[in-house]
Amino acid sequence: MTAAFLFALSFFQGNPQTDDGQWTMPAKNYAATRYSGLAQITSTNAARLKPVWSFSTGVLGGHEGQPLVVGTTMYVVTPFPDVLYAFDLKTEGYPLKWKYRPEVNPTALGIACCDAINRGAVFADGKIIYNLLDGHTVAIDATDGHEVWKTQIGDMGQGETTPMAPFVARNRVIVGPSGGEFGIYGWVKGLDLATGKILWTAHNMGPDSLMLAHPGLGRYTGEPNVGVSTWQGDSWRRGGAPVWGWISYDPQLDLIYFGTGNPGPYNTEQRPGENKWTNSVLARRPGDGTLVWAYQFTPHDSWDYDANAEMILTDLVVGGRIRRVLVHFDKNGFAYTLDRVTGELLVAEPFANVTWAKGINKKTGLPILDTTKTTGASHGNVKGICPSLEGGKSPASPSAYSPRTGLFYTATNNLCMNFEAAPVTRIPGTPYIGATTPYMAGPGGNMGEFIAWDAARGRKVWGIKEKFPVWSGSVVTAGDVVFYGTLDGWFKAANARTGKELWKFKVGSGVVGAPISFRGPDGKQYIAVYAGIGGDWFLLSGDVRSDDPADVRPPADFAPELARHTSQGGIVWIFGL
Amino acid sequence: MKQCVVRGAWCAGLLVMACNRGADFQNGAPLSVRYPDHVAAGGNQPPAVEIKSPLANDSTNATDGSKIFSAMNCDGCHGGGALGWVGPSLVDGRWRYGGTDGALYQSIFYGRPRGMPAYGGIMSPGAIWKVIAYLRAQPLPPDVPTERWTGEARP
Repeated sequence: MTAAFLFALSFFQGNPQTDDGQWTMPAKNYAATRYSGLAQITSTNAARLKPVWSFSTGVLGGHEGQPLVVGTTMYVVTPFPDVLYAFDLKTEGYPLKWKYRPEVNPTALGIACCDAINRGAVFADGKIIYNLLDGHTVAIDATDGHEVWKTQIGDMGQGETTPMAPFVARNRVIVGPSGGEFGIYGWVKGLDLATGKILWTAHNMGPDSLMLAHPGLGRYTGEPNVGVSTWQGDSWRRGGAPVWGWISYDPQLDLIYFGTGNPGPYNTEQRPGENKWTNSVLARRPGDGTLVWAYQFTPHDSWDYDANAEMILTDLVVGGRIRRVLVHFDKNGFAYTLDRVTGELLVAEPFANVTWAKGINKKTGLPILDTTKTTGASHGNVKGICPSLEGGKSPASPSAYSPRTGLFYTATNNLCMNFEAAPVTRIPGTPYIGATTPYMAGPGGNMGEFIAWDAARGRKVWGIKEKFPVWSGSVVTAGDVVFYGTLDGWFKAANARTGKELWKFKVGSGVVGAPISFRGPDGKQYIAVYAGIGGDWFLLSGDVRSDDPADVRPPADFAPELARHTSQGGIVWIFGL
Repeated sequence: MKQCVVRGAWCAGLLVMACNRGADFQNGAPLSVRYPDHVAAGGNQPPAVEIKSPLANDSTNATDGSKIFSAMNCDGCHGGGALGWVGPSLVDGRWRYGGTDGALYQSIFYGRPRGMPAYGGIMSPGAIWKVIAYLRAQPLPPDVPTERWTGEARP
């Protein structure tokens, strides 16, 4: 191996000795591993974990995403109204240093498809940068909380909201919109880190000029304008492909990787064709947005299988060769291992119960469909589709990778659905969906499982079955402990090698956030996580809200017990030994 | 204070003029819909009109309203059957912004803060009243205010 390659290995796989104890970007590092090199908490002592601090955010929306720890300050972004809190970790009780209260248009609450969530902030260049729900990105001075710049990036009139966590690479702030249920024309933008100025906009479909694609150049497809030719008429203009998940970056290849969401509307018959590049992974240059390669996981999506889940970068021995890979757990129930240099498909195996496809053809990269599961207005009510449109795993629940165990750790859902599509008219600023999709538990009856996955071989190594879908992110540490939370409000630690549950604590509300691990000013390792059920579970749980006497709902028919264990409410927790 | 009751108001613009002319309002006072649940400062109800739907709450109007509810993508936020989704339930007998005909009309026509778009630019008053007829026709769940868990799923 060359020296450069060894450097790459250490860069991507992390090193306990060099972990700075901070958590400065959404997924800890460019490679999006959510791996902490801290090792004080181990599988031996994790049973002694105890809460050391908690803080009510005063907000009830779904608390997705994760805090940041920069130096001796912890930063927390709440769901709408997107308050930014800065906590002083040097002082007992971690009092606030300041808070930033943006002006956010509450109209966003009716444009955000699935609760008023926020997936977190990124620290760069002395600034905390995050998105407001109403289509703005803000950069806040990390020291004193003053607003350095604010840029409008999205248009709510077109159905765009912006809960995703921005990502910074090469002095570009990379952002994208939600709105796959509102008929948006999906994009990513690169903003200047210093000023917030929009330097480039790259659409995910449409003509090559708007996709910033150069067919035949480098590794991108030789066919011109596939973003138009794989759609009927101008349906690409309202075809969705939102960017609301996570972004990763390989500095050696100078490529960012992100997934795009579902095509709209859900009624497939209004958009014949493969609908590129919806439900795809795109590799772009962060400097100018150029599209370098793309791969579509679910062509002509019939089931709302967004591909917004994280792309985790590492080096794995696949088929006897060491490969620079990205690993992705898709909503469609398959876990993919791709060569991240070329986009070549290496491994694609189901990690959840899958009925819509019999497998993925490794040569063509195309799914082998079970055509009885294809949906559309003329297909009537198609039954027994697995996974449900919550995904075999939700992109809102980012997974983790430990270079020590070589395993990936992820929340999964064991839900199936029926799918009845209907024609729908696009009215800008209103939903553009066209389907009714009731859920039911998958085989076995447990609606969720937290699993460890071998991405080189494409197989599950261990799993912890959960009564309800598992919708939290995860963090794995150099102490070989992996953390996740449950919808009924438990935060848990498990042995990363064996899957044995080591510890749990009831955190007050269902967990849809992602835990982090950091080193406090006292030199000790801590784990932080949000409680606060919401996101899709704001819609799905039925009566988990008690703040609105004018909104009373029955519990979810497929999970009536869930509302017995949790209500809404945002709490930041810190645990330690 | 004279109460202005308007029936058969097919056009909100006409309604404003007709009412302003007929009612004992201060010069320049805009038309207001009566919100009986609001507390009136000083105990004095503001000059306001009570708007009644011109439509019968019958099954024809409810069926038409159901189709409009889908066609206008209302179900995308309020859920199938208006049971609640990202927007609140509209069939629980509870109303955030008032449940009178006039209040419901205003909610749809002008929109509301916290997410309700204004539909007055693309829906005729007749279509709005039909959606209201559809919502009025939905049965209320029998045990909304209390939840009990006995280990059995609710029917």
